[in-house]
Amino acid sequence: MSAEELVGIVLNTLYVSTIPTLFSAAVGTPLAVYLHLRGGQAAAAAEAVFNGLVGMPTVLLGLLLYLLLSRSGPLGSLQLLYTLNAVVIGHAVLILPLYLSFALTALKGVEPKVREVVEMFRLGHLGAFRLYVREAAWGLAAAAVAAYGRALGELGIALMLGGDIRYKTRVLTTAVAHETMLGNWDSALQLGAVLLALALAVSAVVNALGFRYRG
Amino acid sequence: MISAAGLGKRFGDGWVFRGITFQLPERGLVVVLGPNGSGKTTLLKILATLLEPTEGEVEILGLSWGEARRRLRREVLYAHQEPVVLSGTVEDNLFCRDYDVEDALGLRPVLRKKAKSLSGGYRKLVTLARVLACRPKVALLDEPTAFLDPEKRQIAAAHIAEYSRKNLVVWTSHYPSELPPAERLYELRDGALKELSNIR
Repeated sequence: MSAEELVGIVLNTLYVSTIPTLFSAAVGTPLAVYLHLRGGQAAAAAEAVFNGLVGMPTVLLGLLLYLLLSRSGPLGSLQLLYTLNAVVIGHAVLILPLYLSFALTALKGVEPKVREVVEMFRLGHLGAFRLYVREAAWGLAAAAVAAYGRALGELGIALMLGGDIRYKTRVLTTAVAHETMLGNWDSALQLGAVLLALALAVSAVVNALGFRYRG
Repeated sequence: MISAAGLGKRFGDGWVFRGITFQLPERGLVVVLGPNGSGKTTLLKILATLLEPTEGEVEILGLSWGEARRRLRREVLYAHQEPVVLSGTVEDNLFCRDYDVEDALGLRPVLRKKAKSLSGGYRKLVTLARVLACRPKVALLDEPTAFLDPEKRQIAAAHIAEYSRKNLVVWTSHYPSELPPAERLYELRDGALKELSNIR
């Protein structure tokens, strides 16, 4: 495998992991804060659903999205199947519940008196959101890292929706699987090491930022 | 300004207090004395509209409890007994800025410091300053001098006394020996509130 091809695979991997993570954080954080502040049975039921979906088999999700995006499916006209964007959609659907589940847990860790401060000082929706994000920043960052890690190491969706097309939709996980099937153990191990390095790098960056901005 | 009639609060099967009736003045310092667990915090939180009473009527600044909860904006504020500081600097913790309050409570040198890195005493002062800087008509201060060393306790007490000249301050404590000169003294004990003429 050429260096150029490896760079392409790494960039593809970063694309299908980073965009869904940013999407999950952008959508999931306000939703998690809303559910946390709302409380009640509806919020508890939603949380139970998110927790349940954390363990969603990726091949099943891949299959459902494949049926949606295939040429004869309801979204076939978008011609997304076997593109990186299809993988992005699949990963976003996969990791959003995980992010929400972790984010809700992080918000539960916020000192309950903060809610009384929010109510008394009439901080409003935006003020409450900003305050809770600041208070739970460390836990929310951990949620994002976990979501990113899940997308990074995911194989089923990348394979079914991306198709592992060389120079086009191949990502690190599908490349490892491909090289393994060909019996190229050295290449598979090297690609695996790159995958691990990417996961650790993001975690290290978040840790460093957390250390700097703690409290 | 604040009055209650037949006020009661129950958590689960147990009543914290029942049949409490009082009328507080428009300004001045009112002290509520009582042992731990007597319901002082619960009473203050009801007056701050953070807790709903189980029974009885409360009137806060001319409004019923429900109306007060909907309509009042920082006119009645409660300072927690345990220091409550938020992430960020001391400045970030103060939703209203009042240099007099910051000066009086000795917070100016630590305004840029991370609030969570401060000592318990400074955290308590931040909790107090957050309320007093907003100049509420009614300041509900739960054990306001707890966590403070003698010097800071004196400074805080003096500032609160000064503040109570123009506003109503309700101060709870379980230390009879450390009470400030008050307009009225109440004791909350065994689920009942009674006015004391002199406890010292």
